[in-house]
Amino acid sequence: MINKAGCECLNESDDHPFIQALTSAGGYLESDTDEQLILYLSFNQAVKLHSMKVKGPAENGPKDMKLFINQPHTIDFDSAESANAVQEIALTAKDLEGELIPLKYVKLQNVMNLTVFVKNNQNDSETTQISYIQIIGSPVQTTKMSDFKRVTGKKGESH
Amino acid sequence: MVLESTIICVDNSEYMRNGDYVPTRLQAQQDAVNTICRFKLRSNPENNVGLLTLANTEVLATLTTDVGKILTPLHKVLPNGNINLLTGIRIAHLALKHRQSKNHKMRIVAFVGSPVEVEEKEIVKVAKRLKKEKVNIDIINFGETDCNQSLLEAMVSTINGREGGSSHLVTVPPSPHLADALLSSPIVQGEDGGPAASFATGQGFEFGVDPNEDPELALALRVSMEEQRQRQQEEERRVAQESTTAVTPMETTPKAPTTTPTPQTTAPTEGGQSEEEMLQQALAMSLEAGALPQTAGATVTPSPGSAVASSGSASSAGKGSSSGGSFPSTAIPDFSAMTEEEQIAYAMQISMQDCKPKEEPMDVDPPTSAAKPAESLKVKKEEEEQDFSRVMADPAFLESVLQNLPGVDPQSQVVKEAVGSLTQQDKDKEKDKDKKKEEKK
Repeated sequence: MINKAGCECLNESDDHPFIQALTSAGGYLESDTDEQLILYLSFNQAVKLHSMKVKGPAENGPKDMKLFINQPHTIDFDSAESANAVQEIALTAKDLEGELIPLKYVKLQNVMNLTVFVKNNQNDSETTQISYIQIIGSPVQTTKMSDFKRVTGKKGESH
Repeated sequence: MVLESTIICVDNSEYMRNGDYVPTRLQAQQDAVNTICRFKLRSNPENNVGLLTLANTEVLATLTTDVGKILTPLHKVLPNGNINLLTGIRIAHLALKHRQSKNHKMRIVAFVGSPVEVEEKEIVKVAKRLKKEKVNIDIINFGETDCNQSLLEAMVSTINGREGGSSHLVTVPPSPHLADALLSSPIVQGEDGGPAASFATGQGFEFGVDPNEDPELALALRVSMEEQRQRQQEEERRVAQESTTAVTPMETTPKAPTTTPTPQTTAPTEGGQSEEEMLQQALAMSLEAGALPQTAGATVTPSPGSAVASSGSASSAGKGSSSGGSFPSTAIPDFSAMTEEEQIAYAMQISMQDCKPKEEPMDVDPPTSAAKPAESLKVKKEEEEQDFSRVMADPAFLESVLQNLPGVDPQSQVVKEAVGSLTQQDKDKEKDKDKKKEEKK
């Protein structure tokens, strides 16, 4: 569902880029300059989001997060700080073990992309680490042309 | 092309009065800003550019797509005060943040022409801030290059990170053309590494020609460049060799068993003459000799042109044939001053010239005449330098050389014959020597 080419992360470090947090296999995302991070996830099609999971170390995992949806572009840190988020989440050390975090399902009915702003981390250390981020939801029922079965003829034939 | 907003930061400190960049640093900068500005705006019609001064940190022009709006305030800038790089960059960043279309990438182009008196820690801090927001920065370091280099390098490498980004540091030593130096720099090149096509008006390219526009010409230029380079190397080697032979007379240098007197007679004079003279004479000779087949036409008896050529060659060779015979014998000694590539090229040229006017009655068979100079020079070469003969005898090498020559079809019959005769020169050598003897007489 996640369109990896359309994803972007601000303040990711060179050694631990965003892509490592999108796969469950090893590696983690780490912030570079300071503890803040902006993750921009785009989806292949419109989705409804139900909940999310964030895994990270208890000491420098993310703490306060803000969610924005359907931003036309990656927002910058200043606007992320000041803008009104769809939802603000405060994570605890327990949540970082992979606990399911419920989202405001009603507000997230037609999401094309999701921006996660990580404001700070658990013990205010220099960098933030996220080992795995998972979004749980379902696609909005839209017509998927690939699901149609061909009635007659072969592929590539016009009539 | 990349969609981006650029803020150009101009250094307008008192250092800009310096005239080491003609006419002054400030005016050289204006020229360079103009160049960058036009490049940025042309690379994508939606790009926009802003202008900021670094000494009194003033935004002269907010982001715009109009070059005129940039240039008008730019020409009003006067040198004043000291550079304030970090503040300037922060302001530029702020200006970029308020760009109209947020999907633009952000870029700062900063001219630094006066000593930056800040601590490295500070500069790295600002750089990290820019990196966090994914702002690229291009710095043009000119004027006070030495004292700024390490600081600016630290800044750019911080922003680029370990993987390398698209921020650049360009150091331009004092030269009359600051803007021209930028044309070949990565700042005025596309993100894909391609040159600033159609923009650079020919100055940014290697030979002043856009290789995309005329690939054949570009190839020809490159080939001739390589040949020239090889010739220079060859010459260096020859000079070194001559210096050794000059100390020891020619008798000591071992000669391959030869029956013909010509090589030995020409060799000492060659050692005596200066390199430049030899080369010039050889060039003149080859030109005249090359024109010979056409001017002389059917006759082998010396026409005025060939007489000049032969006398010239006689003087250049010191002795040679005084009779002024047919051109192969006169041209032979001068080949020694050329590189093998040239010699082969020349041989090919002659062969082509000989073969094209087929209707012209020639008393010498074209292929053999083509092969003759090459063969004869081959003989000479072998006597002079053993390693040359080895190279020449290698058909693969010849093939590669032939392919490099513009205008020569390696597949053509004449060339094949010439190559064939070269490779099996052992057999031909005897014949050739006989021929030469005849010519001597």
